[in-house]
Amino acid sequence: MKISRQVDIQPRWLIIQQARFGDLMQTAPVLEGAAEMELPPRIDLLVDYGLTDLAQRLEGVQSVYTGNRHMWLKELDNPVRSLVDLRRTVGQIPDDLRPNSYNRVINLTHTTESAYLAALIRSDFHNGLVGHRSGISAADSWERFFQAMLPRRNLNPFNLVDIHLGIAEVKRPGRNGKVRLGQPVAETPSGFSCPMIAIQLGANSPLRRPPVESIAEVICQIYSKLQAKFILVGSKDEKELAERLIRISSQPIIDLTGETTLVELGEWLSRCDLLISGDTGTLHLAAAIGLPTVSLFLGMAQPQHTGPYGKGHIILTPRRDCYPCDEHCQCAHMSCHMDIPPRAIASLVLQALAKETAPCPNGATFDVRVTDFSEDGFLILRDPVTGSESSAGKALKQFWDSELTDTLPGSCLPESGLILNPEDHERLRLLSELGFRAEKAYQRALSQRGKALRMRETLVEFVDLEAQMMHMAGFNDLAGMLVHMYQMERRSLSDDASLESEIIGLALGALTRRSGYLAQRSERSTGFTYCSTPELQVVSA
Amino acid sequence: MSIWNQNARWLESDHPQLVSSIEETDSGEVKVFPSRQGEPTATVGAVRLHSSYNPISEAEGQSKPVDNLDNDAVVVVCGLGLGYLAEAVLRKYSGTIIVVEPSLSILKAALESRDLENLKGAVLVFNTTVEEAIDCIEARCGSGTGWKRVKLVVHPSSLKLNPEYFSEIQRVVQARSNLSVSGLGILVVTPMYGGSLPVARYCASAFERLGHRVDLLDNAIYDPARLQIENITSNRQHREQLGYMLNTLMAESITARALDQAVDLVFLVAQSPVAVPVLDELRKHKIPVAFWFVEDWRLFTYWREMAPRYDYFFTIQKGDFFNHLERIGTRNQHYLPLAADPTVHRPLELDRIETDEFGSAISHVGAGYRNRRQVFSGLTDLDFKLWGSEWDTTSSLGMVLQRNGERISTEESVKIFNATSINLNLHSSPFHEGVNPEGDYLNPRTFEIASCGGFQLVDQRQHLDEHFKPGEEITVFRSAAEMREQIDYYLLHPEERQEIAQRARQRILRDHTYDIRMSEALDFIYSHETTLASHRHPDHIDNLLRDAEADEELKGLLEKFKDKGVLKLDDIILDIKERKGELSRTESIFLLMNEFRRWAREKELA
Repeated sequence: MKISRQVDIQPRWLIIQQARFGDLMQTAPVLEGAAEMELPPRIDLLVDYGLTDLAQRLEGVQSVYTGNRHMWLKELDNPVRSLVDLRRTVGQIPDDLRPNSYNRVINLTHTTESAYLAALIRSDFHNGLVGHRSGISAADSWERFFQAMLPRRNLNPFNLVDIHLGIAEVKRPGRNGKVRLGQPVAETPSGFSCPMIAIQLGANSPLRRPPVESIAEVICQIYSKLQAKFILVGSKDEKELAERLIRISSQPIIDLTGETTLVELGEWLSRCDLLISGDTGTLHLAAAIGLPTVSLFLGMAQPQHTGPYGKGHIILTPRRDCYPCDEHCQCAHMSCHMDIPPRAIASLVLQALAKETAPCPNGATFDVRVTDFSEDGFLILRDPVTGSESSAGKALKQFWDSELTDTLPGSCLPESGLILNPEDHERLRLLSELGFRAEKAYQRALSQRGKALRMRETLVEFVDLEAQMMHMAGFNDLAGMLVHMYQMERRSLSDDASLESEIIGLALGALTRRSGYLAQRSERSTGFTYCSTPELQVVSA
Repeated sequence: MSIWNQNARWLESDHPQLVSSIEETDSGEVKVFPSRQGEPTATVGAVRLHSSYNPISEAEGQSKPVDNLDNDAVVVVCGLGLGYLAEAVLRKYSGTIIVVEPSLSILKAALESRDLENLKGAVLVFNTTVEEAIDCIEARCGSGTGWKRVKLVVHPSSLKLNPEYFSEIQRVVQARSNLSVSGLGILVVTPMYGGSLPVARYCASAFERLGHRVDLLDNAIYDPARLQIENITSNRQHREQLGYMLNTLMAESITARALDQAVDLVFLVAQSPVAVPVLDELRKHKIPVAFWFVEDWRLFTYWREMAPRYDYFFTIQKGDFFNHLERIGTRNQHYLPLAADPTVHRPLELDRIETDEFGSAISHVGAGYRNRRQVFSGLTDLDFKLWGSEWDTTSSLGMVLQRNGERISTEESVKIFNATSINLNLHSSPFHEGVNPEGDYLNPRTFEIASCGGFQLVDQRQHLDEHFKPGEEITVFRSAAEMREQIDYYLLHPEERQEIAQRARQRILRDHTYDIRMSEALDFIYSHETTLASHRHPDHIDNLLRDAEADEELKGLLEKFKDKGVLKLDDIILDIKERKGELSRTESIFLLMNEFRRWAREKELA
């Protein structure tokens, strides 16, 4: 009797993760964290077709639903299929899910498509993006932060997994972020007495891919010191890279590219001692199962955003002005690929295999970082020599954590660590002033209800101030991000017109508070500035 | 009082002329005699007009099509006979009824043998041409979608007796009814360049004015590519291969566009790029293809390979050409002479500078064909301006040639036609000297000069008098000498020139515009097509509503688009975004589908 009651009150969640393999692995800690909750939810997972098997192996997942977008694509191009037919096909997933009634739908896909899919699923609460008639909105502050940060990733201090945990309102799991992949379905060959090193050559963009020649040199250097076994992993599209590597290497290498399913890949990795990779799905799979990694973040890959989640992973990044490059960059020279010498990679691999803790210094053209968890539970990148993370990153994390988690905003703001340059400072000071004036104008307009003409005049003033804020967003990344957050917050209740005035007021308040606080983080702070009291004051210069 | 006198009394008030015509008519082969039930029946030659046993009961059966008919229909009874069928329809149906009978001898027999006064309740269309009958039906049903209301009830024996007359009425009614659905979707495909390029564009404009949805695939944008091929290589084989590839690109675009836009008809003119696999593909999708061959069949012979592949083949020549077309298995050929576009070819007020530049006593716009060189070389003593390309600049005509033989644009030719006292229009011939005695088609210039209100002298052509009254609306010469005489005469008689030109323009506006031609082409096509291609499209709203029958929410969403024809996802999305309130499940699925499509496109771009 007691047990069945327990079952009845167990919350039911659906997590939507329709992105790629790596993103699914960056979702796994959410499952782990949820499983450690006081009342663990029953979790269903909705993933893309090719990830079904892997998703089913993630522990804590009740049922896996899949959508085959490639099949839909074929159907959309089929001239004899009607819109009614297609509606049936595309509606099949939500129709399958219809009988389930969820307490929470957590959309971790971050696309408009997934937002409309989320909207179709019956649930008491939504987290992440949700579609509405007028467009999409973010149902929680972490997703709003994510959307505002996307076009300007350099302002993001959080690892994607921490953002996922924030969106899902789940605490960081124990076990150092490791997840369980369930029991292997087949016995994998092992029996090697020497260390086994997995290498992932490919990446989803050539800009992120370590040069084959460098990796060949890395293998050569490691092999000269340690009789390790090397296995190449990856998809069949990466076969050509593997063949090239084998052609130019004289060391024995086992080529498994294109030979394994994702589940089998996990099984192989669990037999290995280390993975060398770029920023790839394989890297995140390795991190999830607790395999040490040495990764090269090249091109547009940014370790503070998508670094492997877990303690002690070693990350190398080029040190040059153009790194990290823009998401849509079409670089002709890719010279950052040559910034990380094979000798340094080999040395870090050997050090990791020996489980040495000696500092590994930055080179002349590259930086080394080691992943760790901060006291407040976020993944951080430490300088291996000084052992510290960047003060700006720390301050920004604290600032946003205070703004985004469900505590009193602004309650635990850091006192120092973030110093803005004069241009940022000036823009944010102005933005704060505009936000303050807009908020006051909006409040005045609300108080003039019933006096149509005066109310209209005040609203015109508000709209004008809002337009000035939008204009400013185009000139400065930080201001742009705050305005973007403001826009997302304004839309957050979407079709519910009755709450509009409250939402606008709150969004303006947040904008003023954030820009005021950030503007204060400057040594040249003068004039209009934010104070910890709810009112804003003009301080004479 | 005889039965005829009784009938004549009520008929006379509305149709006095008809009554006297009937009185003067001979009954001819019509023989009236009593049926076995006693009612009169008749034969016409070997054709039995009604049942010789029970004509009333027979008519009951023939009038079945009007059983349970909505009251807003317009019933057209084709064939009076002795009036039994019309009476049966009148008994069953209380809405508008039209009775059509062209034969005076049958009318006479009917009105002499039976009291038909109850026919006063119907509209009587007796002893008229097909056109008059059609006008009368249109007056009752209304144009456009009104044709959908017309219900034909055909008297089988009357159809046997006057097959051409009644079949034509059936054909036109069917065509107008097919066409009446909120405009057709027509894909007009132009050539890259040349004389038929503007013709294709005029056709597209005309279709648009007729209320159809026109999608213009204007291949003129590829003309620079064609010219570029000439610069790429001097190797003929390579040039041909590149030209072939360019043609394939343009031809394949037809299928892609026709399917994407769910068109009802693809319309091409001479030189429009097309390829056999494209025509096969369109046939597979049951999209009819019409081709207007605006060229001289004796000079351009590619029609031999291509004509049978089109569903509809329009020509500017008839006679022998039709025999050839039939022999090679061409389906649905139809004579469709060229025309003018009065929105382009129109009288202009020219300023002094334009008059000086484009005006002269006589002029000719056209290419330097052999017969023209020979005839025009005798006119250099006059105020003569020669416009166009391919003239020998070193000959005596070089003195009157304008702009060193550049091509003349449509806009400029309109100014020339307006500014010239006498426009010479000698049809081209590479084989003759002077006037081609076998010339049968009329070139575009004949219609364009007239439409501009310009005065022209044109060489004698077969069928010219079907288009213009010679002497009244147009002036015709049979030889170079006669042309010269007419020039001398009309230069001295400007009022006569003006009167003829004005009458010619009136004739154009009445009979020879592209609107009229395209209307005729569509009438022809849709008297053969039983349904519209777009109606067969899976996303035609009727098909969607049928598919959605079991889903109330989906049906409710789709019903708003009842008159939309082929529905696109974009139409639904736009509508969803304009609505208010919570999203329904169906709306959300369509929004999801839209996002998925966007994802697919981005993926494609990436």
